[in-house]
Amino acid sequence: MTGDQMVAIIIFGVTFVMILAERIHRTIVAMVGAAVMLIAGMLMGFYSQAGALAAVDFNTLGLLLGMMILVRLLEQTGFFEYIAIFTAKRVGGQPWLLLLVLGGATTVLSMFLDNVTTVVLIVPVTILIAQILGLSPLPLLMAEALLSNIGGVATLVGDPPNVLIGSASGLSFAAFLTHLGPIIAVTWLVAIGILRVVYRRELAERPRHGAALAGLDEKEALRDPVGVRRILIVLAAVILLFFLQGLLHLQPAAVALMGAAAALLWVRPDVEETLRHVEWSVLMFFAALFVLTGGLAASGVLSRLAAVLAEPAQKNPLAASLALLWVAAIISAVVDNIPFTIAMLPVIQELGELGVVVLPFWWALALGAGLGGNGTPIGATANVITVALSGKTHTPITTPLWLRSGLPVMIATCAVASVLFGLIFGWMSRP
Amino acid sequence: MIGECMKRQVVYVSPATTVLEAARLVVERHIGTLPVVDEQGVLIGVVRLQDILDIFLPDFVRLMEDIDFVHDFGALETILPKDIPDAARLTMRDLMQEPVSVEQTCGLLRAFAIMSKHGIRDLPVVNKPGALVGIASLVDIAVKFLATWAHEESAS
Repeated sequence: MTGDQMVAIIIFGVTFVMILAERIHRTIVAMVGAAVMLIAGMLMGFYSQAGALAAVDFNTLGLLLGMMILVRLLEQTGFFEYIAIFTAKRVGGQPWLLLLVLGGATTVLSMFLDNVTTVVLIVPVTILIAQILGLSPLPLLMAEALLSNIGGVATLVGDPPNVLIGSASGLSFAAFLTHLGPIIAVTWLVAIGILRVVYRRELAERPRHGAALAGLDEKEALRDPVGVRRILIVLAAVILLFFLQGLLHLQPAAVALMGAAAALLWVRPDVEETLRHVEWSVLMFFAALFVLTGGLAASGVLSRLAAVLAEPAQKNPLAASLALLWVAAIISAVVDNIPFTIAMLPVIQELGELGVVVLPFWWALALGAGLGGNGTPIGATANVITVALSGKTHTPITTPLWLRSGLPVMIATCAVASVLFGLIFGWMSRP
Repeated sequence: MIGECMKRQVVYVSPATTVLEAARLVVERHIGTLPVVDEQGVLIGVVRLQDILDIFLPDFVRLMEDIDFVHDFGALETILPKDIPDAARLTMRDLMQEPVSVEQTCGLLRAFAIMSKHGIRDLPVVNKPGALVGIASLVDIAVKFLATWAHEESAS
């Protein structure tokens, strides 16, 4: 190994550990790490400013930014509250049916919108519904957090690892849905089954005050009925364009930002206020990690790693895919899955350049990073948010309470996904 | 000056006072603000009626931006303070907020501006060492402040 590579590995490793240690905010750590990597690279000659700029994937950043703007506009309208109340009223106060419809709505919303926003908005209204009915909110909240993570895996825009994978692999929105969709549909049912068994006692409760649901007016919860219609039309158009991506040669980032522009023009919100709610720290975190990983790639470390992995990956692609799935799952259960995903992107790209069929690896990474997050309360941001919100109630979700359903769901969904992956491996290896 | 319109007979509590005792004081004396003082009589906190009632506020009210569409609190409506046994054991130390106070020489307009900024309706008054010497309500200050105007009006 060369001196360049040693230095790059040390800078990357220290930054990675500091991010996972969470003593300092991850965005600050990543930015400092990126700066140090660039300075070291320039001094030693393995990395340049132009190289750092080229390492930043603006397609990922643009897609995230566009969707963040759209979701912020939708968030203000009361749409999420409307959906939760509307579906809850249709099924009455039966806890098991409530779990199905609220969990189902969360899944669908998370497939197209940011999981964190979905959970931030659905969880409070769920607590409201459970409390006025006199039910335990726990099974409903767990279902929403777990199913939002599962739903997010099904599409290119569903969660950040998928956005990253979609951009790095060039795989289309439709390809995500046709390859990951079927597996996610089955794992969704598995998760629902586990929730049903784990919470059989809570779900058998009868609401103490079933009539209270009638006192919730979903139309009144919709603060901006005109705005919500306009944003939903734009969102539908954006999703349609995602599907037509291959035909129109439009990158997802371009589609999302065009959608954001159209929605801003049509809804005409206070734009300063809207943009203040964009999660800039998340975008900076991604950008900094791209620069950091770019330095590692420029030093040649990742191509060496790919060269080592190429032979086993070629000899037994199924075993290699499943190994990647489980490694990604375990890592994302215990730590943030973004740094790992970003570091894996160039490795898989290098493998592709060495002639390995990398398609199954992209899907395995998406499944592992997404489904693994359910294992612990810190595995995914949606979990952290759900736990934090429930912490403000009289019935907080503690870590043991989380593990009771989260861990079995993580293990079972990863296991079922692995089996299905093996069964349709031919399909997973074709675009 | 606020020293001229404040009440000098102040109902106060100690940090160890329980919510149950505080509730009794509120009910008997019809007051909305309880200054918390230590053994030396120094003002160390303030418990407002709102802080006590917040214990009984449903969780979702804190979490939701808007609750106007909730027309029926259902199962929650039947819950009374006596149904929450843990609440009675809370003490003033658990509930008290950082005190906002002024000294006796504080002008009326400044006192009103401070209350307005902090969204409070009662302003504890302390002496130099910080000991509680009185309390002025918005009404006390308003009566004094508006009196000049009202007198002029009746004169003309």
